[in-house]
Amino acid sequence: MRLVVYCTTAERRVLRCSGGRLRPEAAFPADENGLAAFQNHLRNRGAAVATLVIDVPGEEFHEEQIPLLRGRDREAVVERRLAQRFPDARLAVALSLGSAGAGRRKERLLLASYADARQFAPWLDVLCASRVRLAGVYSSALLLPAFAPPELRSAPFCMVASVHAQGLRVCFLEQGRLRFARFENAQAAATDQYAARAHAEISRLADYLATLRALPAQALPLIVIGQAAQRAAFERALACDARFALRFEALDAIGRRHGVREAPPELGAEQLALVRAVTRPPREQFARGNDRRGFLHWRLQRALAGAGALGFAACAAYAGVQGLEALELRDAATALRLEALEARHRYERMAAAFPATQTSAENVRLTVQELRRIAARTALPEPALAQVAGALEQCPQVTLEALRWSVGALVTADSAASSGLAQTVEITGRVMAAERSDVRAVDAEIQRFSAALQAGSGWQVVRAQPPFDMTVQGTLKGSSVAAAGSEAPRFVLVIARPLP
Amino acid sequence: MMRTLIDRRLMLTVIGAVLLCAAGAALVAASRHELADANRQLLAARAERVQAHARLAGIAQDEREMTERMDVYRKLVDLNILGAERRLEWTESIGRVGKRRQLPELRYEISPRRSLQSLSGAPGHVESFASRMKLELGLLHEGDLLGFLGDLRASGNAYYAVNQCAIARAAAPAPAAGLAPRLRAVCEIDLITLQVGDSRS
Repeated sequence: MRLVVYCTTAERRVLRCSGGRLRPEAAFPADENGLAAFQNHLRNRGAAVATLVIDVPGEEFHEEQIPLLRGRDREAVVERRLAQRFPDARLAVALSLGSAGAGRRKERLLLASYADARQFAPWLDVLCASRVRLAGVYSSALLLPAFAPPELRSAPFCMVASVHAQGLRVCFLEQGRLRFARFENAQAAATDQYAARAHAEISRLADYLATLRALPAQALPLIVIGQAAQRAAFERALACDARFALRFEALDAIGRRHGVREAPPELGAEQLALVRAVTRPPREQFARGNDRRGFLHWRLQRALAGAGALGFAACAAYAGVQGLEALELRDAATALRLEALEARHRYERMAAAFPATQTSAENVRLTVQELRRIAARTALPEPALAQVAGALEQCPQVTLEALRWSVGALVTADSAASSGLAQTVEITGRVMAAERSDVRAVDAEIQRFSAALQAGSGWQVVRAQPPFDMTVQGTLKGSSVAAAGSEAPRFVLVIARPLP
Repeated sequence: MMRTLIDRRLMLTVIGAVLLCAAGAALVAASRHELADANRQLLAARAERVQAHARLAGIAQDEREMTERMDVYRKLVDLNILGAERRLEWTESIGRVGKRRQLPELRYEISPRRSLQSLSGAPGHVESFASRMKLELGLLHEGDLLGFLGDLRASGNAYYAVNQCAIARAAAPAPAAGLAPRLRAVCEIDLITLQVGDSRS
């Protein structure tokens, strides 16, 4: 709940502000009784946030220059200047007016406070003692310049006058920044009288500014914010004064433009300040650190809670997206599984039309597999014998004495190492026609037989044992005389072919 | 008092915010885990589907293979290679073939049965057994051996896996002898039978 406490010389009005709507809650006279009633009122308001807007005469403005500093150094200097200028001031503010000049590294400050700030101290104490948190204390002088048309607000100088229920607020702006302001209690029965009095007040302020040489030579833009009914009276009152270029802004229209949706009818232009103090409060305000401690803690709490909630919401949103993605993936997986199941069923239906078996398909498969495995490890001797018979036909001088066919580990000629299964044929034969002494002829015949055995069928000679030891380590014997009854030269060839 | 209360509230807010963030992080972790799990499931399902479709696409080949296997299987059944050993039939076949080939000599010795490697797969089971036969033949010429082996294979009752055969010239026969063998062959043959599932005996 946002509360606005509007402080005037005579009373303190408590209004509730929500969505641009101002609703009156209570009004208290600015005396001891009012203070007690205000205290009671706050007890029922719980942990609301309150903003004070002050419209009383007696505001003080002083311009000073400080070194161009930043951060804590600047804060310290500003605090010191405020303490020097307004000793014992609980409500004071320093408004920056920009740098003092190109060559000088100085900052211009406008120090503002109230001539009688003590009148608000008990009210602030009551607020701080209650559970209501003080968001800030503003003068309508800090809030109303924002309602001036932008093109005039950014002019070198302009003046904004607003008609309040209890008086007239006049603000003097330089480059859009508040330079001076006055609030004068003023009430009149007729609008013409009020306009004339306002003109007098504005003229007095202009004269004062002229003595300070703060006014331009040409006509000063003057924006007057008031009820539409007051337009004619103001135009009449100010038409004859060439020092001002009047521009009247009707309160209703300007209120609508700036989001004021509802306000008590007795309020004047202060309603704009009250709503702005809640919806878009300026950074500069009169309350000091201690008075705003509860609010700052509350804001920190809200920021932390907000950050936590935001973090949780972001994580939850991310997790939600991931969860949705996971759901989609699971759906896709389920669809794929169903598709696979359907394919399996189709396969089974089609497989049911396969040829009927006496046993299960698995048994048939295993049986055939086993048979093929056995067949792969065995071979028929017939092709090997046919190969030997063919070679013998090509070599008629060779006769076969013995033959041994077997299936077993392959033994290579050079390494005698086992490398897989192979058919092996060990052939023991003799070379019949050649003389034993004719070693070359015998060797040539064996070589021819060996070549015939290997011809184009994958057979290889893996071992040869000729009738003569032709190696350098062996003993080679021979004789020129043919021994009676000597046998034909005998040899052994071992051929092999790996099993497929 | 008020300040302590404010500090306590601030601390509670900090704890609450941290708890909220932790809960959010836990949610994220859980959702990431869930997503990874769903991804794994999807990959598995995709592989399952690919496999099922590949199997379906290859059904023509499966049918062809099945037909081929069935042909082999029927041949095995026809040749009595499946089932228990038929030693009686073996002796009859060997005698019958020897007589038809008019072999001058025929001796054989069949060793006890031994188990070869067995193959098992769900839900079938196949075991193979072998009985080694040592065969000695007196031959008039080498064609008798090949003919004998061919006839033996055709007689069935086992898968005849010849391990080795040695042929040598026989000693010169006496002049008075009639039909004397000129060659001697010694062979070692495995008589293999297959037993499927519960058909073992």
